[in-house]
Amino acid sequence: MNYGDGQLLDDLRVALATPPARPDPIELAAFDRIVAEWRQRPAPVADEPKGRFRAIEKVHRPRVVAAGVVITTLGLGTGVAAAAGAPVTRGIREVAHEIGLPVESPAVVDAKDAMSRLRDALARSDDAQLRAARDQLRSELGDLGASDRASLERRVDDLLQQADARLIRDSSGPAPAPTADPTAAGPQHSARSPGGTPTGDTSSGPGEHGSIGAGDGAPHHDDTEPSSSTDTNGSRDGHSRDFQGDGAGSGAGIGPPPTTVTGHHEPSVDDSHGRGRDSRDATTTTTAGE
Amino acid sequence: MTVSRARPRADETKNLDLPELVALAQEGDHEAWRVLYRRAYPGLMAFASRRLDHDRARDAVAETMARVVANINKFAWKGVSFDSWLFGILRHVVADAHRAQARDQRRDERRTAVSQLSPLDHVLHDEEAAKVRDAFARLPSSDRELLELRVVAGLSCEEVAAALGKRAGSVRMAQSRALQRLRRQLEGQE
Repeated sequence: MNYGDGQLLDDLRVALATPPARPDPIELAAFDRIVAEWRQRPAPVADEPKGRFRAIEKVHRPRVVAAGVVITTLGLGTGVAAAAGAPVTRGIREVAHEIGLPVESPAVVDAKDAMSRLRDALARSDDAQLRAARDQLRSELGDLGASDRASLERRVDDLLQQADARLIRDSSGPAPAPTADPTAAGPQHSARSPGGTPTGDTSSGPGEHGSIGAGDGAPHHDDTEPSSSTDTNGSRDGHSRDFQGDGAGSGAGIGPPPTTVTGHHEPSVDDSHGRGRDSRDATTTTTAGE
Repeated sequence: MTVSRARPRADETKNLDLPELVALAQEGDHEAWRVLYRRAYPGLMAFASRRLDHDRARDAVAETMARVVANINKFAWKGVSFDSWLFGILRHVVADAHRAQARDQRRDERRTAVSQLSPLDHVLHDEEAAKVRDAFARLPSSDRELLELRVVAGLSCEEVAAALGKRAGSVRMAQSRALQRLRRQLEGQE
């Protein structure tokens, strides 16, 4: 048997042929019922999303809308406030930080304010003011979360060490007892212990970027530079970069702490440089995921 | 639902061409649906009967037509013929039914017995046709499905491609390879 495809298809057609089937009355009646029911159906809703997105959208539409409204409101609020030079209110800051907008938490802002006050006190010769500023800073540090604390650790440690050293040197009496303050046993000292490692909590924070090592051993004064300069060392955000510096300086014990601090300036408003980028990413992902 | 044309009388409906029938069906014309059903039934039943026993084949055709009715407003003549769309639905229904049937071995054996006693054997007494059927039965499942869509359902390569979700060129090549294998099977019998 040797012939072409067309002939073979014809033979196959004959071989597989069956007597033409016809629907019996029962099948016809059943089909009539199907058509009748279909004709009585409600009109289809236009512009329904297709495929798997239909179910997703139905479930999450209210949440997406609500999140969009909140983000827009907060974004506009913080943006307008920043443009007008006005401080972002604590309430807006709290909510904006919670939902991942590039805004620092109120606790971080408070801690940075306390750091500024301590720097001012160090520049003056008023020990009482210096002691009060130091204690205030320790108190504020107690309110910080682990990742926020890690981001400030090195700068805080240096300031506190300088304050302690000045107070010991100037005092004719016994050295101040930092342990009297419950916050004094905070991470700033434990992290500074020679050869010690940062607290375990920092591994889940922005410090994860520290493994890149770009910031290791970076001079301490880099911490106060504008965020734009931090991008040059490959770090994605200022906080993670700060931690890299801390990890090298305190955890690994590379280099002695600076003995003088001059020109330190904490960004007064949301120096949310890099973290903002991460936060925006997170926000976008969440929204898209919904 | 707006009626954009004058409804033909029942005896006129059966003389309409397929696009007109489909358009009327989309508008809910009951007679157009009946004509479409009667027109499609033999091909659908022949294809389904190749894989399923008679009862399951009837169920598969009924299920296919129910899905056609439910989704008729989604059908558009955009490079897909109505028959392609119809058989595209049917092959999914048949595949599901076939899996269910395969789970029941006794049922499957009975189906084989039925096919071996098909009326064609008795009516045609055609040894050549029996050889072709035997050779065809030894082809891979994908080859058989493609060739059944061509010769049992009567679809063109383009329509088969649309039903299978493939390109017409690849269907032609697959058909050529399937026929080549069929030819080898037939040569092996001689």
